[in-house]
Amino acid sequence: MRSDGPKPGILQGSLDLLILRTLLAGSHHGYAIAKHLHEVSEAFLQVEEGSLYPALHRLEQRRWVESHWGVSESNRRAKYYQLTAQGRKQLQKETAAWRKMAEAVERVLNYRPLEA
Amino acid sequence: MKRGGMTMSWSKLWCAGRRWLTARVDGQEQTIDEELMFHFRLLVDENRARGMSDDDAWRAAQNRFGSIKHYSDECRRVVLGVHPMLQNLSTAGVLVLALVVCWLFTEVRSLRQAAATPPARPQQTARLAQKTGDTAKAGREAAAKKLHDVAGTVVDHDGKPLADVHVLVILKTWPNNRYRQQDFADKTDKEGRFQFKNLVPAAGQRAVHLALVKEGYALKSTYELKKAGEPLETDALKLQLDDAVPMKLTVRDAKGRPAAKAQVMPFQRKTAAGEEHGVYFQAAEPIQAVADAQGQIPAGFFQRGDQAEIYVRLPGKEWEQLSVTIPQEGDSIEVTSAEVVDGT
Repeated sequence: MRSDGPKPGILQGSLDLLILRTLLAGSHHGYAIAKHLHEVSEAFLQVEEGSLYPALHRLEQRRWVESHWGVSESNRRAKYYQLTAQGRKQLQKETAAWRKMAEAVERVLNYRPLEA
Repeated sequence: MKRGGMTMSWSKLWCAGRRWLTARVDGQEQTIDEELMFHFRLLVDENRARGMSDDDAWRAAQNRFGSIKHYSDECRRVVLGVHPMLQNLSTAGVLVLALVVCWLFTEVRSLRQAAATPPARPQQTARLAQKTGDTAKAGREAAAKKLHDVAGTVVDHDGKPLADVHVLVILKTWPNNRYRQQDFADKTDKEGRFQFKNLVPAAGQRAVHLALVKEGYALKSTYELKKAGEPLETDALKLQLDDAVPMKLTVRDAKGRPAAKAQVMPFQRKTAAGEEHGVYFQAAEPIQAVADAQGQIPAGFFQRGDQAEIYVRLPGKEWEQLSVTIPQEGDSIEVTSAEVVDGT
């Protein structure tokens, strides 16, 4: 179900998690990662290139992903990223943390004060 | 002599260190730019697939993508750990510190030697010569940083300005003994003018390949390679295009059937007189076009008798380079791919 409202950017801190999760399926270049997030979120998430590439390089610096140059489906030279063993562990940690956070937010939203 | 030898080895070490650092920064910059450009080009493809014209597709992608330089700076900040503006300063700082340590080491060593032997004038002269050499080198490096435009005007055989001519530029440079090839594209304005600002280094070996492509005019290219110290004038070019013969190209697959929606671009022409004009594949994306459902597409980029090289890509296949001679009569040519159109 598509949202017709204004499309928010990726929530602070969640971009790394989304990238790592996308790379769990295999290696991708930056464009494919952005497209995957857009499609899987049913066009709700729009990753800005200005956030995506610095995030990818940051993840690479932290050794959670590694990169190599290959040839894309459009026959161009492209930089592919793939998850490292360290990145998999980080993904597990961040997924658990995100779920806890989501549950906590949900509890706050569902809170109803006891009637007097 | 020992002192001179020691200074020499530190000097070599300094140069090697600087080359290593510069190459590292340079290499990072190049790969970041290439990665971002790849993304940008896919956005252009996406827009084309939505039915936009080439121009609209590029414009829309530019609006969406924004400044590649800005993103590139952001990435460099992450990769190199400092703001790009500070990067050169920090690199310079580290190197100056290293030089000071080297210099102190050399001085202490020479003082020890001086205690044992009287000072020798020729060595002082050698040091002065080295300092003078360093100053000259700094001057050369400053000159190397100066960049020239690639700009000019394109006219037809009557001298009238030609608008909407694709201008495809390949710039070759050899920074720090490494080869670098970059591509740039633009179109001429109503007055036939084009301009690429601050492109060509004023010093060092460099080469500029410039190709002009417009339907109805014969493909033309120029190539200038200049060694260090040789001037290269690229900021007021005047280029003339000759008329091409109107020609319709039909692309067929290996079974002889029309290849609908094949991608096509003119690649090279060799004239009967032996002149060669061509585009670099790396720069040719703006001139790619798609054949119609009958595999036909206008191909007015050649003159009669030309040996034409054409790049063709059947849907879902790889690019192929196909040759055809432009006939002395008629207005149609054909090329046959080695591939077979899928699903037929």
